[in-house]
Amino acid sequence: MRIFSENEKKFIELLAGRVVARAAGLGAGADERFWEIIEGTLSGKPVKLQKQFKVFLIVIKILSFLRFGRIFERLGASQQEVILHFLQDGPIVIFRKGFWGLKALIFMGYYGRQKIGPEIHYTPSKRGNEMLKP
Amino acid sequence: MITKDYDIVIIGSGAGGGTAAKELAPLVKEGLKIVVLEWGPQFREEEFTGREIEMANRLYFEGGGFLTKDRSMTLAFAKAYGGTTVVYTGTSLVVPKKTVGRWSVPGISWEDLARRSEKYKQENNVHLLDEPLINENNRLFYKGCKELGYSVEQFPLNLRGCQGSGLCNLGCPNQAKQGTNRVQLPQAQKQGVEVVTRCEVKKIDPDKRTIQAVIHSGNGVGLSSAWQPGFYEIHSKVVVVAAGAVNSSALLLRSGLGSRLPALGRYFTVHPALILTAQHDQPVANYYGHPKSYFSSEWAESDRFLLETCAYFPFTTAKNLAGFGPEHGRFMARMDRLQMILVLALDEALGTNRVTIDRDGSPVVDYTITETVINSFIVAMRKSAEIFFAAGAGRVHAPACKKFTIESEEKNEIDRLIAREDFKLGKVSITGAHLMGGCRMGTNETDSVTNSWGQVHGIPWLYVADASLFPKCAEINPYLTIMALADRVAEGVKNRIGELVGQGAINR
Repeated sequence: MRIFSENEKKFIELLAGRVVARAAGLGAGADERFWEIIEGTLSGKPVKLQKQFKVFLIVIKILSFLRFGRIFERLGASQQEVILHFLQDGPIVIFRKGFWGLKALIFMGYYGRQKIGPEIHYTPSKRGNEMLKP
Repeated sequence: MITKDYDIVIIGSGAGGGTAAKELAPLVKEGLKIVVLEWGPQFREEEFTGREIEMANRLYFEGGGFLTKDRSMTLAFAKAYGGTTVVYTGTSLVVPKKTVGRWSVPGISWEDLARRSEKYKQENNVHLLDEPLINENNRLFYKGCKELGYSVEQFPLNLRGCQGSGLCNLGCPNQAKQGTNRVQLPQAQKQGVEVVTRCEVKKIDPDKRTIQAVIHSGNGVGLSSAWQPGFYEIHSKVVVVAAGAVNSSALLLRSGLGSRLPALGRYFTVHPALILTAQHDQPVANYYGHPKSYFSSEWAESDRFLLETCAYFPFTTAKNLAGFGPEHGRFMARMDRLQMILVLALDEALGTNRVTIDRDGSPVVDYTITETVINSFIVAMRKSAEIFFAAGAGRVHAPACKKFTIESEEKNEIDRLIAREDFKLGKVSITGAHLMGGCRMGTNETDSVTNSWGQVHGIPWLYVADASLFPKCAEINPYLTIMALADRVAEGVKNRIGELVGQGAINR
């Protein structure tokens, strides 16, 4: 089930810190569940898709270099956001789709953790009708 | 290879397969052997945990994120004892008369489908929720629509003992939804129909009238299959394919029928959907109570979309917000304050939107989001924003907008802020859960796959009985219409049963 190298994981954690502002602390290796979800999901996808995902991570680094002359990790927060916004809103459809996939995976790892519920005021109940306002 | 012999094999156990199984079950008493083959397992009641990622991976193909070929949209369809009826919300609407008129299939009348739909409304305890059980999200939608003078209707639902967990799309943890897993399949089994789970059907051999299938071993979750894991060849006199629009089409393509049926896999429609959200300054607590009480078909004719209430879980909600970073995080941090509306575009049935298969025989959905659908989305986002604000929302998120949120003081600028140029494929999350077409009914092989009784053209013993029969989209939530069509297909089989299985097989 191991999909990513330690370097790739570090890079995704950095991206997660930008995509989910609250996820900035994930880098402490605090959340194994985040990685269980992400790697568990990707491992069920075709190998071709896994490879494309890794290539997309490299594309982010290359774009950073072309735009700012430095790799993504060495950019300041605002410059990193410029790159991510270009991927999301720019004219290149394949970049937008790639970024959507990256975001979806990060959101899945972050918001898919059961313990996030109370933090984001999401507290469903099997007996939800009992909680309805009269 | 283990061989088996049956008179009737039904592939799939959802709204189509479950209904066909129950309707054909009385034939067991007359000596026929009937089996339902279902890809997914039968889950134990305690295995419906309501945990988003866990249940999505258990119940849906590709965890509910099956990507279309160009990756503009994800599709959600399930595999389980009961098929997709395990994961829908139980909305039970009769197909509109105008829709059946647009289908224009000789032999299919609205009156016939409505009569059959009524039968299943009775059988599945379909009713309107009592007012005290309607949650705040639904009340806000109703309030917003009424204030603006838009039509709004209440969904009939097929519930028995609903506790309002709001987890319908992850499989009801209280077993309240009256899907085929609760009603039709148990009835069929009581009459002697066998149901074999964890069974992936690979191929039908149209010359030998055999089915090749694999029984998968379990991973400890769900009940074991009635058959041992391994490869099977199943001989059957009649085969009813009801594996859902994607898998029915793919199965028939794998079976080599594409060359003789040029329409196979084509005219695939999905009701492309957007999940829209707004934030209130006080709790909405949309996760309590049944999520789907109201809908509006105000724009069904003019702009080709429906609006429905909905409730989604943290990951699904996060994914459907177009954006990231602090503004996204602030929206997500107050899930209790979110109001949600689902947009369903009523998409055209185009021959180019189709299910194909790859080299391994796995389904590939080639679907293009058309300019017409995008225009429907733009109007739908604007109208939804109006409804959100009329209901008292403080800010609205539209995935195609110049800003992440439109504040209430900007509500007069909705049309400027939500514009066509801001709708970017890839950025906007589009999903489809109403998968229809691919084996459409019609009169001949050039533009359809089956006749109006679901019998595949040119193969008298092969039937289709699911949403893939729809010649065009249903224009409403399709569950009851699938049951009505499957009921009709079963009647067609029964009417020809002597001819299909041989008189000697009956009461043997």
